Amino acid sequence: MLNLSFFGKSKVEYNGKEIGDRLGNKAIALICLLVLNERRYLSREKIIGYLWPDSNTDAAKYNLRYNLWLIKKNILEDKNNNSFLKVDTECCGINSKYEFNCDIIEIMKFKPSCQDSVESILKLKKLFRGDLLEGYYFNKCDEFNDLIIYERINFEQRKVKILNRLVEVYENDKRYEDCIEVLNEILEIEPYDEKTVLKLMDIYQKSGKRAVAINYFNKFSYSLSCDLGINPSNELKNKYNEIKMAVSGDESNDETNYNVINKDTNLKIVSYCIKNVEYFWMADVIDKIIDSGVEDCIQQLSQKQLLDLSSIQSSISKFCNDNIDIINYRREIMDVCIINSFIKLMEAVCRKRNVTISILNYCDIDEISANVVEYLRKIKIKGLDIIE
Amino acid sequence: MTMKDREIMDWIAIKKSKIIAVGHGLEYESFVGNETVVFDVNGSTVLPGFIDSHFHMVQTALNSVSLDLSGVKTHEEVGEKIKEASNSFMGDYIRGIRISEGQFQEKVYPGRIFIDKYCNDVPVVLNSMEYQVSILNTCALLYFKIPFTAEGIEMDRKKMPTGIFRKHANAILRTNILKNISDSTRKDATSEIMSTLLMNGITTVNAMEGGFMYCDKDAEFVFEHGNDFPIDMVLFYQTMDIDRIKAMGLNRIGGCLYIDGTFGARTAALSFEYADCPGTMGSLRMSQQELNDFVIQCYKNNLQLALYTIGDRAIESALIAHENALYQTGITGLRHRLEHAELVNDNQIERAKGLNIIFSMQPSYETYWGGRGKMYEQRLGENYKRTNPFKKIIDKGVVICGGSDSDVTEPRPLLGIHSAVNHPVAEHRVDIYEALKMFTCNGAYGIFEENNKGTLEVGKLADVVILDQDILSVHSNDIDKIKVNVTIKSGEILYNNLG
Repeated sequence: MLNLSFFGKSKVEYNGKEIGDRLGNKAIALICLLVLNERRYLSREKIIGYLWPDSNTDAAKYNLRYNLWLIKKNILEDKNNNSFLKVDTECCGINSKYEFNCDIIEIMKFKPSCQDSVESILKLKKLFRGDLLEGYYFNKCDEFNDLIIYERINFEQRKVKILNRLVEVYENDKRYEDCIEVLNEILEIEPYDEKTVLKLMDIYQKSGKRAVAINYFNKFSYSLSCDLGINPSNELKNKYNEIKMAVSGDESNDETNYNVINKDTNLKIVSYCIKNVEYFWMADVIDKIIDSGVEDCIQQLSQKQLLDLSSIQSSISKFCNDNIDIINYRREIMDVCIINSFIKLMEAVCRKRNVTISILNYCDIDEISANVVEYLRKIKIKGLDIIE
Repeated sequence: MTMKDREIMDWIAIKKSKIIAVGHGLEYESFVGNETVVFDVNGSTVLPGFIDSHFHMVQTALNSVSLDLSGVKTHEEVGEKIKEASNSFMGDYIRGIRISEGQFQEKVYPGRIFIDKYCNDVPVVLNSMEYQVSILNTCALLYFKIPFTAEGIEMDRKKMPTGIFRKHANAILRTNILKNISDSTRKDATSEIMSTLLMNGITTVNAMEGGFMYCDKDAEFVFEHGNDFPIDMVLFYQTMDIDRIKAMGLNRIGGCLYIDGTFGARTAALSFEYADCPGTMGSLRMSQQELNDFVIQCYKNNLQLALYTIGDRAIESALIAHENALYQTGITGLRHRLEHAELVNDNQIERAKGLNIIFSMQPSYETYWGGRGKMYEQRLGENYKRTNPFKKIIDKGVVICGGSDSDVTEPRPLLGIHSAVNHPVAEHRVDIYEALKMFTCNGAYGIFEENNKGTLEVGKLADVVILDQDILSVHSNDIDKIKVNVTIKSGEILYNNLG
C-alpha cells in the first residue's frame, strides 16, 4: 500500500518502507503536483513549466521522463493491476483507480456536517504535521513556488475550519477541557483572533474557570495594544465584564442572569451605554434598580425627585402619585434636577445595600452620564462602587 | 572625577576587580610595583564606567548584523544592496532593517517579486523602521511559518501575497521569525557588539528584553547567558507575567512595558492634538483600572517596576497608578522607574518626586529629534519646547538615569551627555556634572547598585573609563567629539587605545 504525506516533512511510504530518498525532491514535488490536480491530467508542457522552467526543452523533457520512470520503478501496480500514474505522450495524472492514502486528498474531502465524529475530525487534525511541502523551495520554479504558497493558504484555512468544527463537537459533548486545548491550537495559528478568544472565554466560563478567563483576557488585551495598538472589541470586553461580575459559585451556571444579582445586602448591577444618547446610562441604572426589588429605597424619594427621574426612565413613574400630571411636569425639568434626583436615588439605595455598578461599554457612555459617574466617584457615597 | 560630591582626585589605584585607593599628589607611588600597569592620562578625565540605563541588547546585536537600508532611495538600490549581501551571506536569512515607504522615490514598498529578481535563493526579510511592516521574498515565504489566515497580508490581483505583511500578520510573523533565531546566533551577534560598547566606555547596561514587539527568547537569553559577556547586563524583562518574574528570581519587571506609543507613529498619548495630525492625541494601551491592578501587584510582590511612558497622558496614567498603589499598600523603597518620560509636566515632576520615582531618559533624543524643524516640532508644534526638561526635573530632585535606547539611538554615552548639556531649549540644559551623573552614579542608583558601582570610591568595582581629554575644559559644543581611550571592567583592561 502506498501512503503519501505532504504536510511537514514529506513522506512516501510504500509497503511499509520509506522510499522518499530513492525518489528525490523533484519526484516528490511532481507527485504532489499531480495529487493537487488529482481530478485532471496535466500536460507535460505544464508540468515542465512548473518544475523545470529554466531548462532547455530537451533537458526538461528528459527530466520529466526520468522522474516519471523513477516513480513507476518505485511505486508498483496495486493488487488490481492499476498503475499509480496515468501517463501518455501528452499528459500525466494520478490514476483514480489506484488504491493509496494521501493526506492532501483526505483533507480536501472534508466538509463540515452533522455526521462528524470526534474520531473522524481528530484523524484529519493529525494529518497537519506541518506546512505543505515544508522545507521545499525550488529556485527559479516561480510558478511551482506560487502554487505551494497558494495551497498553503488554502490548507491553513481548512485547518482552522477543521479545528473549529472539533470545538463545536466537543462543546456539544460538554468536553470543555478538550475544547480549550483545541481553541489554544487555533490561537497558535491566529493569536489575535477575537472570535476565537471570545469562544475561549465562553468555554472557560462554562467550565467554571473564571479566574483563568480573567487572566487570559488581561494578557490578550495587553498583547493587542502592544502589538497592534488596538483594544479588544466591545463584544469581548462585555464578555470579560460579564465573567468578572459573576457571583462566585454561579460560574458554572450557563443561565445565570448577569444583569442584576441580588444577594443579601449586596446589589450588583451591570449597566450598558449607548453612544450619544443623553442620560442612557443613568436610565439603564434606574431601570435595573427598579427590577432589583428595592421599592422601599425608591419610595424614600420625594414626588418631585421621582418625577424628575421619570423624565429619563418612565418605568419609575409607577412610584408617583396618580394625581400628578406627569407629562406637563416633565416639560419643565432641568438637567440639574434630574442629576440631583439620580444622586438622591443612589444615596437612598446605598443606605440599604452595598451597590456595585459595572459599566460594560464605558467608551460609549453619553456625556451627561459620564459627568455623573465622575461626580459620584468624587463624592464617594458609602457602599457605592462603580467599575468600568 | 569620582562622581561623589563633585570630588576630583589625582589618581586611582586598582587591584584585581576593586578600587583600592584614590588620592592626590604622589601618594600613588606606594601602590606601584614591578607588574603594575600605570596609565598617565595627562589631565584627561577618568570616570566611573558608563551605565546605559535603557538598552535593547539582543535587538541591537541582531540589527548590527543586519542590512541597514535607511539610506536607500529607490527599489533598485534596495535590490542591489540585497544582492550584494547575498554574495557574502552567512546564516539563515538576510535581514534588512530601517526602511519606510516615504524614503522611496516609488513611495511604496518593494514586493516579493521585485526582491526575487535580486535574490531568489536565500530568504530575505525586510523590516520597516518601527517594525510595523515586514516584507519577504518568495524564498522566505516558503521558509518561514507564515500566518496565512491572519489579517494584514497584502494580496495582488491574482490573490497571491505580495510579500508585504502588516497588522496582525506582521506581528505574528515577526514573533515566528524571532522565535526561530537560535541562541548561538544571539550569542555571536551580542559578542560582536561588545567591542563597540567598550569602545564607548559602557561597562553596564540595563538590558530591556522580551515582550511582544521584541521576543521573550531575548529575555531568556540574557537571563541565561548575560554573565558570559564582558560587560554587566541587568535584565529588565518586558512582561506583565509577575509569576514568571518571581519564578526566575528577578526583583524587577518591565522596561518597554507600553503605556502608550511613539511620537513618530503619533501613538504617544498626549493631552493635546498632534500638530501635524489634528484630531489625533495618541492612545493609552491599558485602561486605568488595568494599570492600577498591575501596579498594585508589583508593589505587593516587591518588584521594581519600569513603565514605558512618552506622552504626558501616559505619564499621568502611570503616576495615578503609582499613587493608588502606594496609598493602598504603603510599600516604598522599590525605586520604580518611568522610561523615556519625554513630555513630563511640572505637576507630574512634583508628584514623581513625592513617589520617589526615577526617570530613565534618553538625552540623545534631543540631538536626533529636538529643536526647530525636527520631528518633535513636526509632531508637537510649539510643545516641542516642553520635551525632556532635564534641568527642571533635576532641580525638583527627581533622579534621572541616562540611556541610549539602543539601537534607536547609538550606544554612545558621551553623545547622551553632550545632548543633555546642549539641549536645543536653553532652559532645559544641565551642567556637565549633572549630565555625567545620569550615566554613572544615577544609573547605579536606578538598579540598586550604588554601593558597588557608579562612583570611583575605595571598595567599589573597578569599572573605569579614561577619556582622551579633560571633559571640564572642553567647549560644551564639542563634548560629543571626546573619545574614550581606555575602558576597564572589574579591573580588566578591555579596551585600550593608549597602546
